[in-house]
Amino acid sequence: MMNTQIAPILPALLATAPFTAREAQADQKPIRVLILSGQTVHDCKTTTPFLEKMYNRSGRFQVVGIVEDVSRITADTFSKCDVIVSNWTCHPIMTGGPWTAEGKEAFSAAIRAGKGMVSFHAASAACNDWEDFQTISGLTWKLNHTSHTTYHTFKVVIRDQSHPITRGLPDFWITDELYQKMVKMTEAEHHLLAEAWSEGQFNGTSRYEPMLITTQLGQGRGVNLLLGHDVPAMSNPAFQTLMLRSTEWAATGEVTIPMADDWPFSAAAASVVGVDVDAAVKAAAGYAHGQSRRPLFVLEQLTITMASLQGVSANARRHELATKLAAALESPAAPEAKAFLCGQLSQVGTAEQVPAIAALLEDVNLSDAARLALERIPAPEAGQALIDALEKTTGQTRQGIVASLANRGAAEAVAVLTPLLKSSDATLVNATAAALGRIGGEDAVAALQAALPGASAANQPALLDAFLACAEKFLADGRKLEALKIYRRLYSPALPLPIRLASLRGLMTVRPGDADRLLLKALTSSERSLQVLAISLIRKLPAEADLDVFAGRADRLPPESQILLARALADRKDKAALAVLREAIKTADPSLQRQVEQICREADGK
Amino acid sequence: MLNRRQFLKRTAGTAAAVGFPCIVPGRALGLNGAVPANSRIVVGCIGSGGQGRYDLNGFLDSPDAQVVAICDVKPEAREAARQQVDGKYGQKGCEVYNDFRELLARKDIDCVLIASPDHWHVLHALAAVRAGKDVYVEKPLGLSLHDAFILRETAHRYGRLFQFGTQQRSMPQFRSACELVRNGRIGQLKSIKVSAPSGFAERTGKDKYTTAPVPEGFDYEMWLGPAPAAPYTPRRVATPFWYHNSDYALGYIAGWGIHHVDIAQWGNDTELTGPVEIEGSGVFPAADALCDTALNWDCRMKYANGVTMHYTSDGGPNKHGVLFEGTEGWVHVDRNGMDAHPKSLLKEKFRPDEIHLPVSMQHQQNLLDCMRTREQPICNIDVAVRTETICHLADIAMRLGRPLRWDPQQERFPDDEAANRRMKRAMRAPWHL
Repeated sequence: MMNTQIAPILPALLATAPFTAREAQADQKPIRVLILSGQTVHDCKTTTPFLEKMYNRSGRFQVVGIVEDVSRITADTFSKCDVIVSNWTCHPIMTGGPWTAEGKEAFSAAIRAGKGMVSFHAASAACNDWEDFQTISGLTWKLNHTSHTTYHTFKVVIRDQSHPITRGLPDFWITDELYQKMVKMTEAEHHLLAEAWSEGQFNGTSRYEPMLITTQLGQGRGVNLLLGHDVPAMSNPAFQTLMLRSTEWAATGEVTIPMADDWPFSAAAASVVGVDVDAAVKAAAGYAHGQSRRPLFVLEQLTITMASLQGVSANARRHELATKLAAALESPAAPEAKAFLCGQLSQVGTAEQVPAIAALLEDVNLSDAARLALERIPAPEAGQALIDALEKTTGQTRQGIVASLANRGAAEAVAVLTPLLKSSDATLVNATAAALGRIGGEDAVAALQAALPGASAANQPALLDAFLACAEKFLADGRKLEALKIYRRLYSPALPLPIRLASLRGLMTVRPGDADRLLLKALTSSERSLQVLAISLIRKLPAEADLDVFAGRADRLPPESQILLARALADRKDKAALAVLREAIKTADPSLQRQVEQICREADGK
Repeated sequence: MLNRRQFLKRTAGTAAAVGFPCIVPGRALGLNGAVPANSRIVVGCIGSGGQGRYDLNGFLDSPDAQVVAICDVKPEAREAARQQVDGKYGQKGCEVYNDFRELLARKDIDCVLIASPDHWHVLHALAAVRAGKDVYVEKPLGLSLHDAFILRETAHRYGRLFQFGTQQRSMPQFRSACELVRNGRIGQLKSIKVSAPSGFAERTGKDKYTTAPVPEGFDYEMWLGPAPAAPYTPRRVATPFWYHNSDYALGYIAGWGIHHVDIAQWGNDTELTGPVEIEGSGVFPAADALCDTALNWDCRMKYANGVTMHYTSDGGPNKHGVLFEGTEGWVHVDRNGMDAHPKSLLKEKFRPDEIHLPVSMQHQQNLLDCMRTREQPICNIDVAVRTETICHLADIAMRLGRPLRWDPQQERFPDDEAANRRMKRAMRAPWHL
């Protein structure tokens, strides 16, 4: 049952107990905990010491004894404790087992008299034939029925926010086994506090499964937490919070223990519980193509967790990670490892790491990765580093830097980009033109204007595209006159048709009052594409527009455009204009007239 | 494949004669399907792997289209497509290209099908619209929202038509489901539950990452294009593996789920806006040598109209498909059909004064029809970018693991630098937008 198909992600860790700073309140005596230990299927040699340390560090509990062999339990065993915590099972022996009759009697009596009982993970998987044990466990493991998912990261959903154990606790994530189809062996009812979706693709049941329940036996309160397969799972701060709060509640009926500070709100946070930043960065820096991505996964989850941290210590913790990432960039790591580190810096880097990243800009193997980070870091230093690198680089590397300046929308770069338009490298000119179009503004326009007259055929489309982009930026900024200037210049028969079509649309946007005149001219031009565009734009004129003027010129159009225009008018339900169109083409070919009549009938819904 | 010299000769010869594409499909002229060759819309295809060849059928089956050119960096993919095209037409004539720029330089091509890997979609589409072509672009748009916005801006600049490969819009049950919702048949819409495959099984643990020599004739450098340099390994360039590698795709949170998200947007009447709040979570593979996108996800969003959307991967609590829940009933739809409560909704008819969504019976044909009128296709660029955005929002929210706010007007995360950083991704030089 306990074979892990996916090994734990992280090395075994000692408790990063969330409560070390907490001191027992003066009026509170420590709650005395007795741990039952000894298992065949889980590693109680690591988990029991973990538990012991967790309780003793909490300031609320004191572990007063550990029972390593339940067959030695006597009437006296439970006399000095307030609560029993079980890390014991004899799975797969589910009936009989090592308890003596005296031991069982002592256990039942202690709990019935009011001592608490907390079991976790496999501890309830025992003694199917012992009613009191089953009552206080609430749910148990039944052979050939109960199972667990593969070890994976999943969300635990709190279902009762009013119970003392779970009051105010948010849902959380944990990397663990998820027990499913646990069985209730007695009539006694238990109370559900939390459950988790058991996902089919992890060998789950595709339903919610209980994760935390409370029970009752006589005066004794019981809690059964199904989580905590091993030390990494138990290191999860939410697991520890639940264990401690459950134990306090089972012993006293009340809960004073607070929620852990580093609550695993996300899957990423659950994946990096207790991860040491230094070790994680170092491991990722040692990555090379072909190796396991595990160190990259761990570091990425750490970065994600840090990137989304909020609260007072968030900036300091991000800063710590970013500093270490930048330092690792200067170590002799493989290019793919450094590229990965740049990707992490793109998420958490600040001005402070810019020099370390910028040092890679001239490295043909790492320039792209460095740009990823420098594009994303908002600080102006990142933009300046790209500008500085322009002069020091050539070829593709330089083009990449130009593209990054575009992606930053770096207005301060226009002056250094402008001379590049004179380069003999056509691809660099195109990249620069695109960048100027993306940045926009009058300096960019002036640069493009100066470059256009002598531009080669290889550069003309990019320059014109950039011009149009600048016009759109002007329009967006409400600078209609500047936009108009560009569109007028580009709406020229000397320029390629896509540019003319784009500028016609632009002109109509800037000057809707000129629409009729422009459209009429385009409609009656000798160029079919311009006609088709005009008709499609006529379709989109405001509903109140008078289309008769276009319909009346239908006689000047070739048959295909006549039909397109008729359809456009029909789709707008403009019967008056359709009548004008029919009048205009009354001497046309009869078959054409029949088609137009058909369109008119369709418009009438016939 | 055309060699360089033939290519130049051909383009030089056609440039002057044909000029800018000008489309009047024969059917528009009432020719009842018998479209003369010189009236057909001339189609080229960039990316002719499995999906590209599937999409090609839509063009090959249309009397309005003539497919004349195929581009792929894998020789076997372009050869298979050439045979598909020539076989369909019963004649030789389909040209093949390795470099998409050569295909786009052909002045006779009016429309380009783009079915390359995701990391190429925006660049291929940008080049096509700048060359004056209308485009059918496979979903999703790619790796960065910023890039998608630039494509939208450029398509508008040139007035080019764009059809997104979210073909469920052309399947009748999806339209019917959305019409039921839009016409209030389930009362007031309260929540939408969406579930789609994560591709967990198809990619997990299947590659130990063995590098190999690049196969003869395969232009691996061009396959990588704007993606980071990486040693060749057969699985890297094979479907479904690249679907799940973050250098080339977002994983199925976009690659598959976008189909249903698109329908959710349609039914919710939010096609030109988006949610205002998102939170999500997901689990990523810890040790797979190649695939690193989410194994599952669970994202919750809220729209300004109060409707919530719960978007999960299959295996989670939502049923595969799209479930619209209203105050008076529900409707569930997927590719197998539609179900509803009350059942009578399944036979519902709409009055003429009610909302009738645009009808597209075939997704490629819808684009071809729109090329006649210059009307917008059923999943045009504005709609597509909004649908794409939701997938990115889910991905970003899932990665950051905390609630995010989104401003659908500004298309930014307000005051959230960590989230905004994830909206752009640098391309490998020399590729640029």
